[in-house]
Amino acid sequence: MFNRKLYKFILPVALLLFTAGCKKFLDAPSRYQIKADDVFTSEQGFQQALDGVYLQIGAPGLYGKELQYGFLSVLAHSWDTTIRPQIGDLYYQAARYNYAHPAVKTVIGNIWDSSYSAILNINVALGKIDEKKDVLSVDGYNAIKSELLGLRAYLHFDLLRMFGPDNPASNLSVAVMPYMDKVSTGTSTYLPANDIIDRCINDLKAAKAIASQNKITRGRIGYWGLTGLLARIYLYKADYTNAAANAGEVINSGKFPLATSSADFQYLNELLFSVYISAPHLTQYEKSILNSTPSLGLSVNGQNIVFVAAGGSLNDWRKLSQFITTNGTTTPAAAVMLTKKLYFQNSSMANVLPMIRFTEMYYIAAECANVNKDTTTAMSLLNKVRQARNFPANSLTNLSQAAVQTEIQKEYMKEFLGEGQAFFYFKRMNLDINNLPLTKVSPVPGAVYAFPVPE
Amino acid sequence: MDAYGRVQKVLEAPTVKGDTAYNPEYNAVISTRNTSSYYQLGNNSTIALKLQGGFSVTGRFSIAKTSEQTDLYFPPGHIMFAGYAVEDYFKRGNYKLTNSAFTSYEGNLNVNWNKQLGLHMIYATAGVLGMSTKSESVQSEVGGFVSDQFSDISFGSSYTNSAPVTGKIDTRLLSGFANVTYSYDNRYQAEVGFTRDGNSGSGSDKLYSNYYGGAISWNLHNEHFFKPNSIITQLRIKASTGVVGSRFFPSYLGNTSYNYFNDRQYISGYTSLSTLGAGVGTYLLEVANPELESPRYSKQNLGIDLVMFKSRLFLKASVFTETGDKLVLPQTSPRYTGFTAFSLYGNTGGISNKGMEFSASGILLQGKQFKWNLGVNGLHTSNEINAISGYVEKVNAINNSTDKDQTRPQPLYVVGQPLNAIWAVPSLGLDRNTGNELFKTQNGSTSSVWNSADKIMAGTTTPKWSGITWTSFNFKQFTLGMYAGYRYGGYAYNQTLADKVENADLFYNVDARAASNRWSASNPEAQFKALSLNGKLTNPTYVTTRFVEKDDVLSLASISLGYSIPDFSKWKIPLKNTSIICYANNLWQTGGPAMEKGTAYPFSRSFVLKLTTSIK
Repeated sequence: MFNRKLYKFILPVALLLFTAGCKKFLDAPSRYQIKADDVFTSEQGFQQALDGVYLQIGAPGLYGKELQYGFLSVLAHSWDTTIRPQIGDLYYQAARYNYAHPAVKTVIGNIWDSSYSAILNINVALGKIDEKKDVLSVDGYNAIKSELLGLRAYLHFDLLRMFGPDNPASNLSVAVMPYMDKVSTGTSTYLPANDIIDRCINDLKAAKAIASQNKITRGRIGYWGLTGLLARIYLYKADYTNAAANAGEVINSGKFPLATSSADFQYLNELLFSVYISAPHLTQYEKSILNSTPSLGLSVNGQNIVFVAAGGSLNDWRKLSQFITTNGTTTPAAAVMLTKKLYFQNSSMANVLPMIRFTEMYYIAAECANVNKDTTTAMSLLNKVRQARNFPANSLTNLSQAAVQTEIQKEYMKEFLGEGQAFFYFKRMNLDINNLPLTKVSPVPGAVYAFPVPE
Repeated sequence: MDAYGRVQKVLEAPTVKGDTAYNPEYNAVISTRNTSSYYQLGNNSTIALKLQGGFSVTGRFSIAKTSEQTDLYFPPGHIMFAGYAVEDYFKRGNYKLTNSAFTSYEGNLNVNWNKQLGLHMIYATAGVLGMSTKSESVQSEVGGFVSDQFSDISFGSSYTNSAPVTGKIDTRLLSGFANVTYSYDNRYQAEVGFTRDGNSGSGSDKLYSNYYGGAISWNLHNEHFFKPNSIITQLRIKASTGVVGSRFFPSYLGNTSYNYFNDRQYISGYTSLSTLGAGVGTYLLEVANPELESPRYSKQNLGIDLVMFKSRLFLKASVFTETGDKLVLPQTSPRYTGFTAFSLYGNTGGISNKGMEFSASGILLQGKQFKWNLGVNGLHTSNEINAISGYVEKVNAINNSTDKDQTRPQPLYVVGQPLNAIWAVPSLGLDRNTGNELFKTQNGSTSSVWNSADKIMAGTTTPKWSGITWTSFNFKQFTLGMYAGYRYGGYAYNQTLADKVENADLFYNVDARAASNRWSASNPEAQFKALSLNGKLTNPTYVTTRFVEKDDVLSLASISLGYSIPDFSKWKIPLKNTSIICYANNLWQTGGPAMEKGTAYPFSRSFVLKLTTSIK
């Protein structure tokens, strides 16, 4: 009968519609954005998600400004000229380590939010990359995955360095923050530095295992950037053996020749990892603090304290003809002096900001040697860098262990001027916050290095 | 207007305050434009196939497309540009052109079967439904007009936004259902139904939702024990219960989506050579909650239908409850999840609604030449919030903060309280000695300081009962009809007393009550606080229960008188059904707070004379 046929026909059709066909049908195109599933259909899509992360961390709230020559460099005492109330709440209160001030609080909150937001972007891409391994070439998969893992570790480690407790080496088991290694909307456990470091190291080891040693990817976190970061992290947890091993691996790689002239004042060939900021944006970010009135800068007096006094040299390439006023001349008529690597009207300048410099490997190795009372090795490592900065060979001799450490500290201030790394050095060495070099204003009572964790 | 009746742009310059008062009416005499036009095209195709054995198949397919264009134009002479400096002269004028399109396709196929076996009757139907909708809109905004005379976008000089504003929403729905109705002897009826919906808006793990329902009804008047009588003609009791979902929540909520950085690229090789198209980056825009599902509403209804006195009186009454849970609300996640910048949605809201409704209508008098009908209906409903999310708590905190205008009630969403409540700080009236308002704080003490944390639920705007009552009287060819609406038991915040009396700026329009009954040492029993030049600046009145008033209203919504011309045939005019009717709307109202009205949208009374006829 027809009835039976109908049953036999319609029911299976209806059922079929409901299982196979509908999943596709219900996959409605999204709004004006691109659906994640459409992004992750090709290697290019993964590459774009990865490049998107680099663009996010190059935002002015992160490594495009505040974690470089802005906020962090104020905390690092790179600038002295205009540390006075007129400079505005943010940098004046930052110079006082007044993290409770609303302007400072906003910037700190944004560092936390933007970093974790970039980490979420990383985790979404990492969550897809193994599932979609077949659309990627082997090299593409290895490069993209290792960079994503490396960036996740880099961001977490910098958050730890900022938000972790003072005197970090003695407070490795104090809970600081969660390590977000997957997409999660709920609560996560706050981990102590020990655990965060372990997870960073795990990510970095996994990344290093698939990264290519032959690719020199200065604008990306490649094999040598990963190794440099490992050295930095091991030093933080006072694992001098592994810190020295990783620093040594980079130093002895022969991939990064030290400079022999001052022509490249950005020392681009010495960059293990840097972040590119597109030209109009970088100019705009830099101008927003370096070309405003009053702006941040280092006075002639300050330059002498950092570069010349106590065993320095006027001929240090990082000082010699490097400081210009905002009108581009080298005459110190205007009080505000800037270093060319940050503010230079030459369009040939590469629009990059350093994340890990090769020279830091020498400082790490030197510190490791110095801790083991091997001052000779430490001085020899430091002398290599000094020589590459226009000092005569073997300029440091016969220094005590403490004096070597002081030289390392000076190097952090000279080499990383306007890059924020000196702040992390102060904090790691637990220097008296009220008595830091180039102090222009007194910190607020009870000031600490550790940023308050946003609620 | 000047002596010749021309509308003037400037009302007063300078005013007592030193500024210039412009005349909004002037905007109407220049080419200001706010129009929209739309074009709609639709097609419905239905096929029905009757088969043997009680089977039938119906299929339907429909397409609808609507395009709409909205033009919003403020000419350069519009008073909003009056304060522009000379150098901004050519920036005046603004034209917003919005084009939107909505397309929907819908198709369904149903198989029906019915069978009668003696007193048993079964009716079964099953079907599938597919639906796809697409809405898109583009808005361009152009500025830089010079003439007030022409309202055409082509006279503008530049885009005011660097890119047009666009929107796009697509939804897909696939649904299957089955329904069986069984009836015995026209006395008992039972019905069960099941629906399975697949919705593109749901999260990937919850693509499908199941809904079901059941109903029973009992026709008492068909029972054997029911003796036909002149009092009760028909009596039916019915009950139903079920769970339904909402098919319409935005499709993108369940998707993880990206956008491109369109103003920068990532060039890792330190070279500006051959970087065209390289280093394009994407960033997460929205992150899907794979668990997101359609909100669910569980509904129960119990009702009675009664027809009495030989169909002269109809009564219907029912009680209902509706509980919605898994309502889609934005989620708040800890900041370290990275989700603060993303809209993440979850099923966290809950609300319940219960109430009853009735309607009664009947013929009061009936004669050969006349008939008098009377009817009334009423609805009682109350709702209660059952669950909120952390996001809603944040909204509450903002609504209680000074970021929001606290001179007017701000909504708060509190579990156990109604949705449309008026939240105000309980007032103890004005202090006789100082004229300051005294408040009751949360812990019961008296304070002269207004604190948003002391707000209480001061009443809901939902009336306890509302409805309409109507009557019509026919006499020969005349018909007189009246409709009146009523609402009772609700509350309203008398914003006029706040804005135009106590918080009034005396340089501007104020309420007639602004000067009277104000507190002073000689008038300690006054209703309103002491008079000041600008109450909002000097002694602002924040939302207080003092201005929460009963909103019991009876209004005559419409009254009409009609005359139908019986027949033109004797005059040999080929017309029929000819009638003249005149009616008036919004004629009269009593009750409710004394507030200004028609400021947002003009209040209007209309008187209409209508003639209808048709040609034979």
